[in-house]
Amino acid sequence: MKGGSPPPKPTLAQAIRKAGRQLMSVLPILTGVILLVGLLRVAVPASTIKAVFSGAMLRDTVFGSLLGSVLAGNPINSYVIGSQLLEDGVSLYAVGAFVVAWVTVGMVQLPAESIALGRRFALYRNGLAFAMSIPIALITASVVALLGGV
Amino acid sequence: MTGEQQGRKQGGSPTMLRNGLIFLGIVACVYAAVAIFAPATATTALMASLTVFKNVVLPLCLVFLALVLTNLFLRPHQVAKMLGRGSGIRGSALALGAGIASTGPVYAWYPLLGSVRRQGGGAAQISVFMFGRAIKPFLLPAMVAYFGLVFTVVLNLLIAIGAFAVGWITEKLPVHDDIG
Repeated sequence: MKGGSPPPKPTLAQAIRKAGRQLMSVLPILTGVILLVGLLRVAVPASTIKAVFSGAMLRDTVFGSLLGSVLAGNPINSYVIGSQLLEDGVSLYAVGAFVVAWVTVGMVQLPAESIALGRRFALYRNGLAFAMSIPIALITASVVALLGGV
Repeated sequence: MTGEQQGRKQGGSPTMLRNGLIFLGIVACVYAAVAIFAPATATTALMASLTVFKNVVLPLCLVFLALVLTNLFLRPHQVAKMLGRGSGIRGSALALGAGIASTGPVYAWYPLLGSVRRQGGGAAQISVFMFGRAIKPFLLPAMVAYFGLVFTVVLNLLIAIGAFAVGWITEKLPVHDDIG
């Protein structure tokens, strides 16, 4: 490794230009993801979402995670859909998993995440987040059942 | 120095730009197919995308500001010290706090996270940041209203613990040298 003095501190103009280039390099990915999210919102109506839950605790929790992984958008939307699912008789286990996976796992964003942060990283991270959403939901719903909530 | 290295030094990543354009092209083909077979669906989807896009503008401005500040004040060795593989629990706690404080969709943060990784930020800390984003302080009242106080407290506590667990496992995985 070569020694020597560190590179000079960039000026504000250089920092702005570099930030602009960094942002520009990710714009095509961003546009693609936004277009996919829009398509998904139209392609998967709420009635389809409700139909996948059967009432079995573990199966519904996994389905909740899967659904949250596929859908994307503002987290408040996951609360609205989640509360609607609860009203329709879907378990809190499934809804908890759905809410956690909604933010932490992104199947739609996976290609973009792979490009921006590395393919292996994106695959492992999403897999881990998906797996983690299940025990989080199971423990949360169990504690709520014990203490009496919702 | 290769063109790619030169481009990276100048800020953007040519690989990311090229792959991003390919990805956008594929999405455009999907839209074209939908437009042929179901024009109304394609139009509604485009309108929905426009709504999503409006929600991304503000976070993107914040990301741009954060990028300028990190370019100005942070040197790679500092990033590595604060958020690198050797930053330990303090680095993970910092990443969790940043994740909780971050707003907007996660993809708006990719440029900053990619920049942090290239400057020596650890994969584990990026994982903690991304998992911690599930905790939304400004949405907690809404969560309480929809699901109750017990659910909200327990879920968010477990998400924080889960973020550290995900980071710890990520550290053990072969993900440290796969960024382009």
